[in-house]
Amino acid sequence: MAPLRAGLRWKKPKPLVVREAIAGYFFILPTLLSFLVFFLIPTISGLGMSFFDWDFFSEPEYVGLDNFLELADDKLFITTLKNTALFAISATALNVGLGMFIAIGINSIKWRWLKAFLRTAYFIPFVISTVVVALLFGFLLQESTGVVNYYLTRLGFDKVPWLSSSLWAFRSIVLIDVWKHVGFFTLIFLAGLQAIPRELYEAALVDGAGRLVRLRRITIPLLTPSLFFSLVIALIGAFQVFESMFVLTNGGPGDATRTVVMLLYREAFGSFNMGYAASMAVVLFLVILALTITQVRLGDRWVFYR
Amino acid sequence: MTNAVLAKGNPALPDFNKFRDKLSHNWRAYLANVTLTLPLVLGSLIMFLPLVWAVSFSFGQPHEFFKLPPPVIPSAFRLDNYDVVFERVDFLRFFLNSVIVTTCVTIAQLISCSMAGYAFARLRFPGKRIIFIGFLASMMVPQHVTLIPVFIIIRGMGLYNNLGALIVPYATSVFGTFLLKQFFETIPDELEDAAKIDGAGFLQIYRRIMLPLAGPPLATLAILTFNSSWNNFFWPLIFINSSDKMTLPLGMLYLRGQDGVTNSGVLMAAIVLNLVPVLIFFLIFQRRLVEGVTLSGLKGA
Repeated sequence: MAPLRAGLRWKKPKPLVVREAIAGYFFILPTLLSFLVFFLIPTISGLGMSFFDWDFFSEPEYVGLDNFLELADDKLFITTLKNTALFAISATALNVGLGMFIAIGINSIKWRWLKAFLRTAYFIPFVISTVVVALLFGFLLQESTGVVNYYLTRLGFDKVPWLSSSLWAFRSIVLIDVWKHVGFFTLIFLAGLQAIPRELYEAALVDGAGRLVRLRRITIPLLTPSLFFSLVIALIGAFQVFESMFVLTNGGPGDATRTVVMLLYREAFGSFNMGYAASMAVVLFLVILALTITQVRLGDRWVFYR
Repeated sequence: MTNAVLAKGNPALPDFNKFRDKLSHNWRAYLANVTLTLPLVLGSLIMFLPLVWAVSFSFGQPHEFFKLPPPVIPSAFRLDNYDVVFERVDFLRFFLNSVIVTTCVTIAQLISCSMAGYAFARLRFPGKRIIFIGFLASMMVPQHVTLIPVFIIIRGMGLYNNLGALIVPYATSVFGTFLLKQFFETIPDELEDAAKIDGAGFLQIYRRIMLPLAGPPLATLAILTFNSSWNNFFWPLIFINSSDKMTLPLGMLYLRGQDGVTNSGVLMAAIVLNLVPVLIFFLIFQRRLVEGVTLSGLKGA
């Protein structure tokens, strides 16, 4: 509050105060303009658009809540919402869970070179574009001639219909997402681990606490802030998933891997149902918002703040 | 062997290592180490294998794809697939477009974010708090809410099917502003006061004092921005429709659509051409990149 009040003393204009304010607006001008043009105005008109029926070429027609009522009856939308939620939950659980345990594992290794190597190895896929990752896995996971299935059959397993059965296509997408993102979460947990004071472990050792006890009583409780952060951003990201499905399965087989954003994209830029697509975006936003607020509320109960 | 390694230990933690020394005599601790390390190493192989296969198949011939076992090391290093990539699409154009877009976005963000970060951290002006809260709130809204209006605005600006459509909306960043604001807040007031007494204006303070100190956070921002701009796919998909304006990710999809490219060595060759610059970039900037991710992670935690 203090800086605000100081800036508001307009009645007795001290030249420096005025000059500072002008400088302030000057420095934030590019960011502020971009915020207005590419965020605030679009967000408001995006929300407004969801109450209209508009095909991009003719006059928009006000329809009230019709778009939302239609969405509630739209079987395809419900399917994509379910797919998206299921994807978000499984990808988040695997990414965050594996990321945490990989980080704990890496952190407990004593050889520095191995630590550095593993950290690099797990993080590399993160810098590769999702399109390239999806194209690569599309090649490796082919059912009849794919490399992965070849080695599976050599090991005595049956060929897996990675991308051709509904169930497996969905699982494959989740696994590919984990392959790409697990290293990111590993890094976040590694940073969290660095922040745990060594003294706690030393004290535990003196008390004769074993590995598992130290893990349960020190490491995991003190990692809960990182865990909380990871869960929040993983879920927000996963609900907007689009690229891997778009490239790899195009939503198929059937609609098994179609997500809300894919449907939204098709409605907006394929069928030009702009108002309808906008209402999907609003629902998606509300779902994400509700989940995030819930997470923050629940977070107070289990996150251990020092 | 374990003892030899442990004896070197970490000089900062002598007491702790003594305990570890005692423990390592214990075979159970040793077993625990192996059972912990082995899955991690195997897991890291899963991270690498797809990339190794991409390279090996990119050198292969079509008939080899049906040969069993599929070769992990190619039988010959033929560049035919690479030739076909350049024949089918203007790959260099994609690459150049990506370089142009990414460079412009990165430079623009370095300037705009450091300016705004400086203002929010060091200057007082009416409405500062509310504007900053608005910025932060915008980070939580998915871009799909703004998608259609932004599409209309971009068309209105005459930027449709223009590289500008991939640059202008990304010229500023709330995340970057936040990152720089946090940094500028740590700079001691004395530095600024000394400059003020010498009669320096705000622009001079920004240019001569703030910017020179902001090297590390700017480098972090540059690398994170570079990476996300280089891999941006959704935006080009919506705003670019002619192949001479495509950036690499969209160009890859365009290439796949060409005859006989789907799931072949040609596609793998293109993937390798994509991977090489990214991996070089990664190896050079790994430390900063890791720092950046860690930093953004710690901010939230």
